[in-house]
Amino acid sequence: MDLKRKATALTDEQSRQLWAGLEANATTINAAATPANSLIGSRLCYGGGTCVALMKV
Amino acid sequence: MGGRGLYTRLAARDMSRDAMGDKVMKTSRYNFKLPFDDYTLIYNSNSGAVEKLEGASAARLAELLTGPVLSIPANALPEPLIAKLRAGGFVTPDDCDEKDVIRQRFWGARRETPIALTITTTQDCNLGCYYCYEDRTGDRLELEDVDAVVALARERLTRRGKKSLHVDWYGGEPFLNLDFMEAASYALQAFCAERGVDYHASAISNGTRWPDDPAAFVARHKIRQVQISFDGMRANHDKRRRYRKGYKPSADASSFDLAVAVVDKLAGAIRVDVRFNIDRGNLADLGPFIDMMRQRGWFRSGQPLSFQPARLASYSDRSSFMRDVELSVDEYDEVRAWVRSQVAGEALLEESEMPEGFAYPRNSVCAALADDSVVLGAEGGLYRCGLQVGERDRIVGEVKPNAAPQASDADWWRTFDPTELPTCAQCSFLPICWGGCPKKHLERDIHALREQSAYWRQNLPRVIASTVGREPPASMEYGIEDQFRDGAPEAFYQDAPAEQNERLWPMPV
Repeated sequence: MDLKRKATALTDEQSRQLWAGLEANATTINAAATPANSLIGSRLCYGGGTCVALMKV
Repeated sequence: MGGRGLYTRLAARDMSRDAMGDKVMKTSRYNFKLPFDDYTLIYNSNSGAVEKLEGASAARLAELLTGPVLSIPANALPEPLIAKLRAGGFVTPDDCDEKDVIRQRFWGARRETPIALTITTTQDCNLGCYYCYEDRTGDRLELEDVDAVVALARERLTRRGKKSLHVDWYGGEPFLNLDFMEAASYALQAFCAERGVDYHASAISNGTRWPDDPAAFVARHKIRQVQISFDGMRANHDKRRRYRKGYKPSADASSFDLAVAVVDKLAGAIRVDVRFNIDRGNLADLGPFIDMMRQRGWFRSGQPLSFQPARLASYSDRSSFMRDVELSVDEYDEVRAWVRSQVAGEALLEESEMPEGFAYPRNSVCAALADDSVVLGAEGGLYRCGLQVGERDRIVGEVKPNAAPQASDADWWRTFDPTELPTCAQCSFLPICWGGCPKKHLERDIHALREQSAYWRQNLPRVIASTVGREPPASMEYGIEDQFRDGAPEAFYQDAPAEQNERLWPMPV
């Protein structure tokens, strides 16, 4: 089946066939997490236009 | 790490409300796979989660999870597996609007990011670095401006009742206006003490005009982080960071020697960020410079030292002459990888794209986007981005009368939202990139925006592999089809220069 096709293009039966029989052992390496909002913005670039270091409170 | 974020909370809420296996789900747009011979890792940029998939179907499952968004019918996958995938954000309820989760996180960060007040004490500098993008003028803040600076801090702090103020001393060379710096620092410290506001500061300096006792200076001004920039070893540095006419203190003065002496004195006192500006002309100095840092004991000072190899590149039309000497993104990534191998365990080596050391979903914005942060220019104008100081048509407000022109970008900055941009909205790097540097969007700098995309395509495999202590498979990098699941947009901006609106991407085969 062409995976480039969007999900909406699949019938329910096609969609069911796509996933049928799939099994895998999943081991969590990183749990979902977002960092605390503790950065206080950028240190400024000198010429490159790219901020280089960030500071934390 | 701050732990559970918005995504995780929403996912948990959904899980408590519904049985997991009997609900129609869909794959996340933000999944990436990293196949090894013995197993496959999957990573979700909207949650930061990484799962290791093993077994006969692991590769096929990873393939399905990381292509265009697909529906997963109820009970199509075993319950324990779907629970893990859902906890990591790899699959979501069919009605989940992932982009809205990102948008909420982004606007929350704009509101809540701690205040940074960047103060350009002077637009003057004693050095004439060949690549400098700033106009050097006689504009400087005066002692009589101190009250206005305190008033500015008061206004920003009271907007939302924030209890922390960070001041970044900036220039020009900020230490060329030492009297103002000291007076403003004492006034701001007194104001914050009176209000119960936590005060701290940092400085960006060329290291040539510090007071005799740098450690005492940073202590009394609560400066806890200083960035000193280098352009190579002594010969290269002194040539590239030459004294401007009338500023050289003696015939044999070396800007390199003075900067090294300041780092010697600061390294044991506070965190020092040693920035090394690189282009093709000084690349050979990088190894000797690291040796020098090691020999001088900067890595063993008892305080963290951050080493920042920085790519000198053309950042605007004003510095387009640098295109011939700048390292390509690939070359720069190679340099960073080499430096990482050289100073591992000795110095901090942060990547601004990943300040937490891993591609977690972003939860902080740069100071230019933080609602309450601001840059004060030496002429009294207010800017959103420090890289714009001195460009008066970029002023968005003023503390001195008549500093601001009529037109301004204030509305653009106030409403900037990467989830609404035509390219970023479709990009699977969106949660970890947030469009990258907003200034590059403001200026329609397509060259730089393409480089930002390339950074993630090239580096994300390494970052994911690092979670299991491995290197990514040889030559592994993500393609355009990984970045844009529904096909690559033709252009970042329709109003970008015509030559840049030609086909932007090497389209996937």
